[in-house]
Amino acid sequence: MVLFRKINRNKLNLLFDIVISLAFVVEMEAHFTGLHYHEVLGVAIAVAFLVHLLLHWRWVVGITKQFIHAPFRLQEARFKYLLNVAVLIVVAVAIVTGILISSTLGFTLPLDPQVYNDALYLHLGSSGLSLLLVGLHIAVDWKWVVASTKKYLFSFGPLQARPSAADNEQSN
Amino acid sequence: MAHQHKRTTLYGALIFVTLVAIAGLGFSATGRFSNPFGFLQAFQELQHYNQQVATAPRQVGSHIHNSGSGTPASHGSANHSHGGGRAGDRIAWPLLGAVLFDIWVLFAVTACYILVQQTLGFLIHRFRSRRPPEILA
Repeated sequence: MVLFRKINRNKLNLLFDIVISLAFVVEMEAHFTGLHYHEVLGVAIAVAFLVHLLLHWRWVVGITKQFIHAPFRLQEARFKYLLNVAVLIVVAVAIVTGILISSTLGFTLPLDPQVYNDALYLHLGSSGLSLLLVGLHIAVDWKWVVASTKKYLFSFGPLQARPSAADNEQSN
Repeated sequence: MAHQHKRTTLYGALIFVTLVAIAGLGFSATGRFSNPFGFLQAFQELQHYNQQVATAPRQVGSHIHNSGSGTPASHGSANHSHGGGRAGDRIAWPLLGAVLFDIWVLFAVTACYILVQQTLGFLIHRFRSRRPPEILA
């Protein structure tokens, strides 16, 4: 617990987000990883998405409360919130349908062929859409990404960020 | 100081957008460019498939049973295939270009967002600064 408190929250978020983004991109190419690794990595990414959500839980709760109380007052945060909800739904569909059609995880669900094909098409469509939405999810916080990367990954030379730039930006 | 920082960020963003555009041209020139909106085809095929099932359930149903899980993959709707079982469980390094292309898609979306955000910000700033002062009654 003490060790967790000592870790800089922004640094943890940045490193975790970089890892999860790279894993997500690799996951997108099933031919690259092979089917077995694709499915195993998919389960790992599902867990990582939950951890990502927990790391930003305070923001989620805060913005949800604001959204309920004053749905038309928030401008940028509202767009971000709706985008994140869309990402959550699309990624959840991709993960659930992926598990439904999985064949190398040690279990095979006895699906009706039509349900299987529906799940497969939904998996292909939602995973393709999720790439664009995740890209947009990263893009809306590009200033935070740049500031945090300068501060924690390139904290030397001319690229060094202003001391408070990374900490002031709200990450989600 | 803040103005200089803002200008540096803007120049950095412009360099990023240029590099993404050059990389896109590179993917296009090497024939590795694929439509990032190709997933729409999967949704269209799902609709088409369901229509087929609705109009000719017996015929399509038997076709599914014969071809098994490989049916949609044989349509070539997307980059994924789930019909191969455990075959090909190794990392296919020659396909690393496809992973790099997906990374480029993430960068391209970011570049588009930055372009739209900066252009809108510039236009709004110009519009507000040119607006005539309000006449007090």
